[in-house]
Amino acid sequence: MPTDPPSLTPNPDLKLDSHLLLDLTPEELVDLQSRLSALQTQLAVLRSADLRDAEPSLPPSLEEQP
Amino acid sequence: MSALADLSLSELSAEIRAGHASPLEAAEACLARISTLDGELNSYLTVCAEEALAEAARLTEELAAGNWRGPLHGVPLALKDLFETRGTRTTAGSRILGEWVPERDATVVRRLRTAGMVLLGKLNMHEFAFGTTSENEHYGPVRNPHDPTRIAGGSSGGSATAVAARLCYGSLGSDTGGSIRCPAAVCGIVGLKPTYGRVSRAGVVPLAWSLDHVGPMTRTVADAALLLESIAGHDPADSTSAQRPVPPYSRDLEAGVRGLRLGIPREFFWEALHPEVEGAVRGAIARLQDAGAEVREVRLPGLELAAAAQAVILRAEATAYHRDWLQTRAAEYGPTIRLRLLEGHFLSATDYLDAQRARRVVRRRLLEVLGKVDALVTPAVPIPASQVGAQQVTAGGITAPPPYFMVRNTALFNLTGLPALSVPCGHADGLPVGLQIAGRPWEEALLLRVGRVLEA
Repeated sequence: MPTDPPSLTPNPDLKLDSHLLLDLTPEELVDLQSRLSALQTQLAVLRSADLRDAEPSLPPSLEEQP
Repeated sequence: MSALADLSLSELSAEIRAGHASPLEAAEACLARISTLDGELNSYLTVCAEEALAEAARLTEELAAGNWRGPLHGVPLALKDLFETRGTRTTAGSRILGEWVPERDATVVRRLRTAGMVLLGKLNMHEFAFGTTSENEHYGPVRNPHDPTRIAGGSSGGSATAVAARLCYGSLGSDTGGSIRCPAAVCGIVGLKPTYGRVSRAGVVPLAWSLDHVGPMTRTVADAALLLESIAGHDPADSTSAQRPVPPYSRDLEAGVRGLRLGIPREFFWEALHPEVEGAVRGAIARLQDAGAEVREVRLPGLELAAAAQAVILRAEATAYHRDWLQTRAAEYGPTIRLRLLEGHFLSATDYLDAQRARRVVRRRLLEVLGKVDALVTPAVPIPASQVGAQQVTAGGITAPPPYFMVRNTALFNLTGLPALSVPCGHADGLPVGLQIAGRPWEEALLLRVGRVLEA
């Protein structure tokens, strides 16, 4: 079993996304990389949380309905 | 003319009812100020002068004929430019929708028109509401009326500036991570994000469906109560709209805070904080205590999990909405928004579901705390408005881009769907500071009561 969270990879079903990435300037690519790093930190927080008893949330108001 | 514009929404309403002012005079006063001031402030994307004057004249005649529709009869308002307005362009601050003229009104717009609103125009905002500074890359930055070298906050920055500069009597904003409360705080006005499901979002360009809220932005708490009464209530066109009666929010505004238990979170909200913001907020808390509130510290651990869940849900939902345009019209986005939207492509379905699971955990914890106190009180935004164009800001020993600070204290209540209000409570560096008051689901009236005490 892997112990580290997997690294971020583009969603594989989106071919055109790689085209979108190719359109970016070198500066924008660096910026995106930095943003993805920050996002990876957030994902690490999620993956280390104890969510065993938690089902995905419905929109809050629906949870309040009888 | 200026004196008329100085009235609050409620005061104008009373003057119109008493026949001391007419809807036409009020609209003319606002249009004159827009013409004089908005060249610099840049809060309006579209001014509907002709239509507004015609509607104001109609409503003036209606009054003369003895038909008063209610407190919003003839009151000039302006709306963030993501509310669909029939026959008036709705850009969402974007180039992609730059020439879009909707064929219908958003539900809240329809309700306001029925209540007698005079629509002055549509207000500048962060592109597609995906940002916290309202430095719009297509239409230019919205500027803070307290210091035009500063930002107005976002994403409802145009609404905050227009209300604060008295270019309209009130506005509606949308709030996905703090986009009503943050600009309200840094521009010195009142901003209310109601409970999720309280106000319809049908006909509002979405940012993230499960986090988006619609609410009032006004100069006073009483004005916010009046606007909320007009727009709240079930709407079958919004699947998340709650089937609950709308209470009279204006009724108990003067009930005070004696005996209310106000919780001050011990963690998180007091970090990354400008010292004068902290001083203003602690001063406001002392005033609430003097007014009879019981103030107690509460523990809110694990807020890092809330921030992580919010970040993932926001990006995943925003990218899903924009996916087609990203494929076909990517070059029409501002560069910053385009990068933000690309981030969502790097998230998986399981990431999104984990974030929704975390959301349930955070909400459960927060509701437990709100079982012991009636409301939570925190700084709304940890810093005063930053300079337009600022790349980094330092506060509380942390240096980061302005967005890091802007929604740090507010997004928790989007994730959990709980109501939260920002009210002015002082100044830092000579600029407005907001106090955030958050509470249990459907208890907007209680938050407004607390906020009203700080205006007295």
